[in-house]
Amino acid sequence: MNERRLITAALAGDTDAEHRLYAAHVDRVYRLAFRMTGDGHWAEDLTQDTFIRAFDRLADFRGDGPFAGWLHRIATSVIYSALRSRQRRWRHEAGGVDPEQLESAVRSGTLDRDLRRRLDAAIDRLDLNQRLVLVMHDLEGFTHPEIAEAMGTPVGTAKARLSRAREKLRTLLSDDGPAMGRQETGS
Amino acid sequence: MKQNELQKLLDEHNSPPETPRERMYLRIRKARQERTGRRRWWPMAAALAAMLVLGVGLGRLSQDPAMPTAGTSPVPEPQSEAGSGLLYRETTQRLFAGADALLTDFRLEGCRAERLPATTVWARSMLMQTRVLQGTPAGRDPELAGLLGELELTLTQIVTIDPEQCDRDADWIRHGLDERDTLGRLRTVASRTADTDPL
Repeated sequence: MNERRLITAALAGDTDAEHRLYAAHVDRVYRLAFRMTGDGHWAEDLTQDTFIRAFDRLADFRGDGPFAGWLHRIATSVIYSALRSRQRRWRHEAGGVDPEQLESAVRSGTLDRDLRRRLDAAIDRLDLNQRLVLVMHDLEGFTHPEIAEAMGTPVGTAKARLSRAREKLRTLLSDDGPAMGRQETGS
Repeated sequence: MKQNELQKLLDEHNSPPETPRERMYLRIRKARQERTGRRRWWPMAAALAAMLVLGVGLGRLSQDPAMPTAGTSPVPEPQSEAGSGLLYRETTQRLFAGADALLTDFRLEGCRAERLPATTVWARSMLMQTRVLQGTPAGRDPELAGLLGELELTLTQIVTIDPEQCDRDADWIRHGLDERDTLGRLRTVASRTADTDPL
């Protein structure tokens, strides 16, 4: 059964169709939520919220674009709102990373725990929009059009955000980067 | 740092475990069932209340005047035609007030997937009441009969909506309501004091 028929059947109350829609898309939503939060329970909550909202509003899906794009738009909205509202306290220590040490660790494949912690801190230092684009594109393999659809922006904006995110990450990972210790949320 | 080096680092950032698919799906189903249950409660209650009002009203009208009832005089006053007409009008007015609420709600969000089943249940109950009233003196009153007929048509359209074509059907129903100003006329009759215009 194709996706359009699954959606129609789910709207008519067919729970099997609903489950098949869920099964087809849940991995990507959960992985994105986990990458963004780093917390299994929180990622589960966000994934559940995404699908509850999606199924509640399924009648609003017009079919102008792919269902995945519509669903990912809900997912990014849920994740973004949750991260902003939670305003989690910065958990990581401030500090830069020695580029030579970093490249050496990458080459040898042995990143020590401290280095990885600093990298996580640098990623979390990105503003939420940049982080979302970076995670979606570089970690989860979303295409630029998919990211643009999910974030409700033109493709060019998504590309520009990714470019800025990578540049900022490099800056944050260098000794010359701005001091860590606070999280930005704008963009 | 080159992009491929950065990429190797990024791949390990918050690396997700296997998706707990079934656990999350069970929670989603449970949450949705609970929400649906809560949403279904109020139109069912409204329909039940409306049925009760209609039943009491019609019960009083159909009561044998010679039959004494508890707490009343052993020889009750026979009901006058005007009094009987007032009861039918009042019952019809309550139906119209309920129909106003239903149709207003339907106009606003009738096709929302989570609302449509409850709206259909509500409309079906109201359709039954409408048909009962069409067989009473209210159905012979020129003003009320016309409105009861329009209401019956509209409610029939709502209860037979095809969920797959809901937007199209809802547009059609809205168009009919607007063209005939059905909501405005229902409100006018519903708000009129019962004793001003007995049947």
